[in-house]
Amino acid sequence: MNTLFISTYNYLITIGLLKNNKKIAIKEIKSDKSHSIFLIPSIESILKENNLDIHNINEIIVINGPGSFTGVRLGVIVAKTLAYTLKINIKTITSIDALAISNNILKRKIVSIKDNKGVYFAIYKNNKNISQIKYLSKEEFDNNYINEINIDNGVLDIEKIALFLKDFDTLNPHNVKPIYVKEIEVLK
Amino acid sequence: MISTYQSKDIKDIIDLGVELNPKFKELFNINNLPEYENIIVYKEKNKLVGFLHYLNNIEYIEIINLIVSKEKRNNHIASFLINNLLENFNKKIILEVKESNLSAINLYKKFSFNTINIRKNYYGNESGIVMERNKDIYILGVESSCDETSISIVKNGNIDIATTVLTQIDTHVNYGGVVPEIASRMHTENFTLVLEDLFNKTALKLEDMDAIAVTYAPGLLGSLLVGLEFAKTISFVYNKPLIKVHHIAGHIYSNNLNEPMEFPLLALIVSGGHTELVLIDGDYIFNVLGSTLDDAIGEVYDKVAKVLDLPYPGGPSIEKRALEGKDTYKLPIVMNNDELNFSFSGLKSAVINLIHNEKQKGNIINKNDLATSFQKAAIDQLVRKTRLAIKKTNSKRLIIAGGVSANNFLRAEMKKLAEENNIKLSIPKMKYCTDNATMIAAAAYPLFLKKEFSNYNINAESSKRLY
Repeated sequence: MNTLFISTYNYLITIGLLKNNKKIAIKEIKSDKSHSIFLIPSIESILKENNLDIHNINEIIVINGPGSFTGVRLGVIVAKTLAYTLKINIKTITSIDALAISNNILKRKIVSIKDNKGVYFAIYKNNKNISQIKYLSKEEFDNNYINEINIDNGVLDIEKIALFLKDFDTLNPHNVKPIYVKEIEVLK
Repeated sequence: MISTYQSKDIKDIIDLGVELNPKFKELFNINNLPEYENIIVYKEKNKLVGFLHYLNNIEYIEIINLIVSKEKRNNHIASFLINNLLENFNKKIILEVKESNLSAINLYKKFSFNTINIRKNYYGNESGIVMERNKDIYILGVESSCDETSISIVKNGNIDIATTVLTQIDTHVNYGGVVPEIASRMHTENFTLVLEDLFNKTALKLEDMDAIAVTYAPGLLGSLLVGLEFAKTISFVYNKPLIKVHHIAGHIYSNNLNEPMEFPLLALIVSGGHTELVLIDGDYIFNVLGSTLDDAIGEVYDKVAKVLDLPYPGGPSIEKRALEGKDTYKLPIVMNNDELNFSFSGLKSAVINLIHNEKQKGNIINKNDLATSFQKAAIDQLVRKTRLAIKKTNSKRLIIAGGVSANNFLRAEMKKLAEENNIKLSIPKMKYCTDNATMIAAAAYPLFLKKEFSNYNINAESSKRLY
């Protein structure tokens, strides 16, 4: 089974290829604010470099946020359109869960992602999210959680992520949508 | 009844063939056709009265014989046979016909066959005409530049095969205008659903498309990006060329859905972001004659609606109120000069000042009457400048394009102007005036013919100009 992994929640585009949950390739592209320029070309090139065609892919894993609103949307629209048109499985994972799983967290730790104004985070123990994903301003976050151990390295381990999702049900592509967490002004 | 021939039909086919061409039996080995040749037959009460013999190449179909018995001519049997062929193959078709066979040549012309070559004295003292019919081109259009998620299939640049438009207006109306972030979110949630709905309306499949066209500019950046990535993904999966289309080109080419535009023509472009007079000399050849110096016409409608406390969007609100009112308020005649540029900020200020002054005097504003007076003044400027442009360019054809072309008062005034100047007018059908993907697919067609395809590294642009 070939899996295509897509992550676009921050300034990086990460595209991974797995065969039976073993990593065969990964590509990271820095793409300051222009994911659209690199996203499909990156998928196209990683497939080509590994002698695969998009029609050889059986499953999509996509990080559906939180993070950059536009970044997440682009990853999600590509992932769900691929799954819908190719009629293949699709699974989602949040950016925070993906980072936690990549880091194998046993003792209580905070996993966080910064953006230019604040911090998305959740608390983990024994590889389980024991809180909800929240968004706080940098100040509020520091005031409340400065003494906790904080994982914010952003490193993704796509094998661990794929293994974690192994027994999850595939989703209906129509229902795949981004998680934003941070509220926008007009909706407050 | 039309069917594929069976071995029991062979004798009748040969008899009918020989009736028209004594050498038929020797020329065509009907008894033993190669597998790439086939015959469709037309029977009446089990009697074979016509047949179409063709060769199916990888790249094209060649019609070898199209024969109808003499007593059954003028019964459209040949047309039925050709139609059957077109329904079963979307490929280029070629054929050769005697130059004296005018009725056949005219029939082929009706089916969009064009002469591509003449074989001199091919039949002794008569020439053979080689005719060709290109395959039908199906373009999938994708549009999401503002608050409509739309996908459409257009055939040959001017026939709307199927369209789905999902509007978000019911959501945005709660915020008094389109909220860009909400629009982007809704596009992301809805695109695959819109795609599914579209293909429920047609027997065509995504595989049948020849290209994927998408609005890349101008508009709300976040919304454009979602549509662009969606279109790139489809193009990538189905290995179909990607065509980027400018939203305003879409509005212009929505006129092709009436009947194909003939150039040169004068275009009045009226929308929320545009107010321009453009001379169009050919496909994508634009000469701007004049444009607004400040607000666009759609923008000024929205702003005036806001000061009159009328609901968003302002265009339909004001138009509706104006139907109930009388032109009682005196507003200035702006840009009463020999220029082809527009200006609407003076008119807008006059409305605001008028409301302010009336309030100070303790008078109640009659919104219907003010809507009438404003609309009359605004549209009058469009009509005056268009009249001037017709005179200056000596144009014989006029088209209107853009969201504001949905305004019925503008449509009526432009019809009068066209009659007064004896010129041909085209205004898009109402359903193509608001944003839709049909116009995007239509605008992509001339780009498809020129093979102006895009790579997957193109980006959306929020404020790129067409000309």
